[in-house]
Order: sequence, then C-alpha cells, then structure tokens
Amino acid sequence: MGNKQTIFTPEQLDAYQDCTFFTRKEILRLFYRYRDLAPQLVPLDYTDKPDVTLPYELIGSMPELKDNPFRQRIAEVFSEDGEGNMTLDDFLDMFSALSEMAPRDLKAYYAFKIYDFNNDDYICKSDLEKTVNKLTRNELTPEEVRLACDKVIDEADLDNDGKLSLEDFQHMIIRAPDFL
Amino acid sequence: TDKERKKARPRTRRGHARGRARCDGEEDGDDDEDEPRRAGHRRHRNRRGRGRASANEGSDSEVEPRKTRKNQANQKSKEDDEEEEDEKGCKSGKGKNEKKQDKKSDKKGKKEKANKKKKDKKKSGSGSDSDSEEEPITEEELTKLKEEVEEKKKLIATLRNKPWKMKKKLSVLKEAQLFVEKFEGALGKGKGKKFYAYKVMMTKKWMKFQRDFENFKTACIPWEMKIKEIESHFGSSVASYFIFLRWMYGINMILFGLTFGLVMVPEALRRKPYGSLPRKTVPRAEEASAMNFATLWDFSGFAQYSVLFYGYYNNQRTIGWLKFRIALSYFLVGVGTIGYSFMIVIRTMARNANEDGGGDDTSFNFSWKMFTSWDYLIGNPETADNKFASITTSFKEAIVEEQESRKEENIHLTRFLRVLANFLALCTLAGSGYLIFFVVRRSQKFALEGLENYGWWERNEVNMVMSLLGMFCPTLFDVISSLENYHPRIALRWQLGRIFALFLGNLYTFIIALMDEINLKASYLHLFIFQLEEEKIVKYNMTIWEASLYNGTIPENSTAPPIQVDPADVPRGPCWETMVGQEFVRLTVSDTMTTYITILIGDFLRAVFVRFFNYCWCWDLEYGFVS
Repeated sequence: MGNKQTIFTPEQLDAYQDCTFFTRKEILRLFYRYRDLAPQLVPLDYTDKPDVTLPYELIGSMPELKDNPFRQRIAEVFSEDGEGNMTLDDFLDMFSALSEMAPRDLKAYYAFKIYDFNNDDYICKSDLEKTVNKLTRNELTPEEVRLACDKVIDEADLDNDGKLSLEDFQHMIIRAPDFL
Repeated sequence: TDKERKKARPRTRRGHARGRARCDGEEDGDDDEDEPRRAGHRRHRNRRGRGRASANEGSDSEVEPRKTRKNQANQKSKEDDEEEEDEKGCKSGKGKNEKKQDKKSDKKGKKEKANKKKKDKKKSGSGSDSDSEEEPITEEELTKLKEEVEEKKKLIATLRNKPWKMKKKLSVLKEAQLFVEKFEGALGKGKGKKFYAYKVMMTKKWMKFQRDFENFKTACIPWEMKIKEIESHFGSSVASYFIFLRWMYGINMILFGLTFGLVMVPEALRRKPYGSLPRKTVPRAEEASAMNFATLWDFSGFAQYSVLFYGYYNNQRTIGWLKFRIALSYFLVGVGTIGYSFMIVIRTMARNANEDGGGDDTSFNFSWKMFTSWDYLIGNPETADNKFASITTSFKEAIVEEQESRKEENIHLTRFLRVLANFLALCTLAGSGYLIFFVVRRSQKFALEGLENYGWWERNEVNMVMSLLGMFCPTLFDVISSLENYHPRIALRWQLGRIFALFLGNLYTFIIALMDEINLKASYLHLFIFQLEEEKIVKYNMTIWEASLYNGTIPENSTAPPIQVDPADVPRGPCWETMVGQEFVRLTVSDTMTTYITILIGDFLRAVFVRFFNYCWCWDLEYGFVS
C-alpha cells in the first residue's frame, strides 16, 4: 500500500484510523496542516510520539476556524490543558468530532461543551447571552438578547431549573433539522 | 530448588529471546517463543504465587528496548503486561504473529480492570489454559470469556464514537486489542484450535481489506474537492444543492448505461448494416438532406433513423451472432428502468427520513436559531460576514414575530386574503395550460402549411413558450404568496406545491395536445385502419419488389434468403411514435439551451454589470433594483 511515509508507524496509523473517522490519507493530510501552522515546532517524525503542543493563537488562525465565532471555545474544549493549546492528538480528535461522518449524538455532546462557557456542565443564562452576542457580533440590543435567552430557556429547559443540562440540550438538538 | 532452577533457565532464555525479537524486528521471535511456551507457562503459574519481584527480573531485559516510549509512570502496569504477554505467548504462537502489528508497548492505564478479571478467572480456573496441563475449560467460563471478547470487540468498533480524549481512546484501544487477542487464543483451545486461529486471522485480513477499500472508495468520489471548496465559500446549503446534482448525475449515468448497453449496443452491432430492420435506414428521398445540420437539429434526417429513436423490432426472436433476444431486452430494460428509479428514490427518502424526524416542529424555534444557525463549514471572511448579518436578521425577525404573535390578529381578513391568493394561483395555472394548448395547435397549423414558410420562432414556438412559462410563473407565485401572510416555512411549501403543479400541468397539457395532433393527423379519414392497410400494402410491395429482383420468380416462402438490396430503397410507412419522440427531444434540448442563455444573461451579465457600474450609478446597485 505504498508505505512511503515515515511520519507514523503503521500501527499508529491504524490506531488513529480506529479512533477517528478518518482514512489514512486524511490523517496524513491533517498532519501536514498541523505542521504547516508551525513547521519549526512540529517534527516530521512522530514514531516516538514527541510531546508537541501548538498555542491557541496558531490554531485560531487556521482558515477553517478563523471566521468562526466559537473558535476559542472549540479549541478549549478539545485541548488537553483546557486553554486552547493543542497537541496533534487533540487536533485529530477535534476534526474527527466536527467531521461529517461523526454521529449526531457525539456532536451534540461536544456542542454542549462548547456552548458551556463557564464549564460548569450547565448552560446557564449568561452562557446563552454570550452565545447570542457572539453569533450576532453584538448587534442586538440588550433587551433583545434577554428576550432571546428567555425564550430559549422556556423552550428547552425540561427540568425547570433555569438552565440547560446535557439531557435538555441533547433532547432539543437531536430534533433540529439543520444540526450538522 | 528444582522448580526454581527450571524456572530460572527458561526465564532467562525466554527473556533473551524476547529481547532479541524486539530488537531484530520480530521475525525469528516465533520459533524461540514456541519452544519455551510450556516452560514459560509453568513459570507463569508459579510466578502468580509470588509478588512482583520475580516479574521484575524477567521483564527487565524486555524493558530496555521499550524505554524510548514514554511509559515511566506506568512501570507497574507494564509488569502486568509482561505477565499477560507471557501468557499470551504460552497459549498460541499465532498470537505472537498478530501481536507484531499491535504490540506498541506504551500500554497506559486502565488495565487493572482486565487484569483483575483475568486473575479471578485464573484463580478459579486454576490455570486451565496451558498446553502441557490440558485441563479443560468449563463451559461457563468459556461463555463468559466469549462474552467479554465480544464486548471488547464491540468497544473497538465503536471507539471513534466515544466522546473521550484521544489519549484515553488510544490506550483503551490497545488494551482491548490485547485482551481480545489473548483470549481468542484461549477460546480456540477447546475446539479445533488451528481452524479457529485461521478464522481469526482471516477476519483480521478481511477487516484490513475493508479499511483499505474504504480509503480507496473515498478517493474515488468525483468532484469531492470542488464541492468542499464550494461549501467553504458559500455555506453548506449551496453545497447540498450540488451534492444533489451529483446524485442525480449518478442515477442518470446508471439508467443511461442500462439502456445503452442492453438496447442500443446490440442494435448497433447487429446492423446489417443498419439494424434489424430496413425501416431504420434513411429513405432514398430524404437522403440528400439527411446530414444537414438543420435537419439534425430538428432531430429528423439521419438522427431520426439512428439508434437514437430505437424502439422498433420485428418478429425475429434473436438477432445477431450472439443470439441476443432483442424484443425481450426492450421490455426488460423498460421495466428495469422504472423499477430502478422507483427503488432508488424510495431508498434515499427512507434514509433521509430517519435523520430528519419531522421538520415541521416550531417548538424549539429560538433554541435552534441560537445553536444551529452558524455554519461551521464556512472558511471565507466574506461569507462569514454574510452569515453574521443573516443570523442577526433572523434573530430580529424571530423576535419581532414573537412580539407580533402576542398581538390580536384579524382572522377574517387573513382568510379572505388567502382565498384570494389561491384563486389567483389557480388562474395562473389554468392560464398557462391553455396557453400551451393553444400554441401546440398553432404549431400543428404551421406544419400543415409547410414549415418552410415560417421563421425560427414559429418553428420552435412550443418549446420556447414552455421554457418561458417555467421561468416566469414561479416569480408570479412568489408575488401572490406575499398576500397570504403565512409562516415562511409554510409559505415555502405552498410555493413549491404550486410550482410542481405548474410543471406537471404543463407537461400533461403538452402531451395531450400532441396526442390530439396525432389523432387529428391520423384520423381524418379512417386513418387508423388506413395505417394498417398501408403497412400491409408496404409489405406486399416489398415482397413483389424482392421478387422482381429475383428475375420474376415469386418465392413461395416468405423467408427468402436476404438479398443485397440497399435498405434505403425499401419503402416504409409512417411512425407516430417517432414523431412524439422527436418532439420530446426537441423540447429537452431547447429547455437546456434556454437555461444556459438565461444563466448567462440573467446572472452573469447582470453581475458583471452591477459590479462594474456600481461606481457611476445613482443608487446602490447591490442592494437595490438590479440585484
């Protein structure tokens, strides 16, 4: 199978293929994208699993993430240290979860983590307000924002505790037709 | 003493062999490892009684080559691993073979569970899985083992769906794989071990093959990269349109292949030289103009008699040297095409129905807006700006709607307006139907008077009218629907329904008008019968004429040997099916042309105009009229 690459051992590639939704070619392509962010930091030989972490600024400058209002949260959720600095493993993990082959419940799980700004396992009103502001780039008036957040809590909160838990969120998002 | 000595020897030998195996690349490891299997296993059982100390000694030599991996923290568990590996080695040489692939020695955490389970089993089973001892494994243990192996296998298969961090996934994967391998060997003990081992190896090979095939398949999907680019520039809804087009293209290719391969190719091959019937050749009279572009464009002339308008076969059962049953193939291809289209549409619908789960839900409106409106596939700042603007607008709209819905609304006015709108839509539909009918009648009148007297418009009137109707009526429907004041989703459904009715109505009117025309043409006098008569006359003429070529001898049997007559000279009767076919083909082609021209003029030129003239124009073209 043209084993010309020397970045990973075949076992590593197989293991990555088992743990993500990617094919061999895609994993290699992702590696090159990762490396392109910082060629001097990322070695070309991963067979001995070097411990290389890229800082958030580099990750956030990727064209796919640059315009995404939630890129900071995405990086934080998938990174090991919670600050947005990602190793190659985290990188692969992130793209695997965001890829189109991942099932909806997996995405729902990660989406919940992304929207939970204060990491308390609940999406409370302040989280919602931050979400709305990020989505509309602060163009709505504060009372419009408040109205929207109230409506969301009304619609989705099933156990009536004033905030969304993972079950509420999943229950709501699984039914959404355009949740990709 | 004795035991210890026996233990010591194999251990070091074993350790050495293993160390060597690791360093050299494990090719010769197998032979060495098979030998000390028994001894090693005995050693293992004894070792169980003791603490970790002995394990330490045995595994030191093997630890060295693996120090490069970052396992310092997990030394303890590594020792456990050594034990396990010994066990594994004891049980099956084949196990070692497979282990080559998966033996990445950074086995981190989470082995304790598996270890403990095994230990319990071992203690109760009293080391039952050894070559030399040959103690039978009880049934219940076997089933329990099997269950666990199945569980681990399932875990491996669904690993990528689990929301864990990559490190955790990798370690769980390794642990599960080791466990499965080790016990697969054990399970094979009871029943035909070689066969079982073989089966397991085949399964692994098969999975590897499948994975490679998946890789290959994804590389083969046409236009994948282009569509991804489009997705990042314009968002995923635009991309979904292209994905749909690609799907349609695939279906069309398959249907085309079916018809082409089974009907046209045999016809073409069997040409004698023009197919199975002299009917399919250009008659002498038309031969002069047969290849003119004008006649070709009209799909008469050469095209009329080519394989493009197949569909006629005589009573020969099979044709050609392949004995191809042409009549049967016509029938089956027709049935097959319909059946296939039907099946594939139903299958796609069913597949999409699961995911959607009822799209008419407005119960989570705001939540969905908040959480799902951002398109994560956008990779372009312009698009992102557009997306932000649209999200903001949509939020504002939703909020306004929310406030509106708390107001009182005038039911009667709304109802009246809706009825009015529907009435107008019906009028439009009826109008378009009548227009088509009228135009087809007119074209028939033209044909009677001879097409040469009229210009291009008259000749292609029908097609043009249909295309134009298809372009302008939907806009009209849009305007009408603004009267109705529906929720946008419902309004969209009405709109689509009306457009669908429009196209369907147009098509049916067209067909009916054509039928009418043919009937008119064919039944001025008892032309139906006349046609049959004509066919008979033609046949009779043919026989006579053939006879005349035989120097006057009328052949007694009609199956005279084929004589070398130029088929172009054979007389034949009219064929209305061909005419209908020609009309349809002309319609399709002109429709395509109209679409191209509309896009070129309507969109491209307009965009160029707007972009370049925006500087020197009174009002902002991009937001105002022309756009």
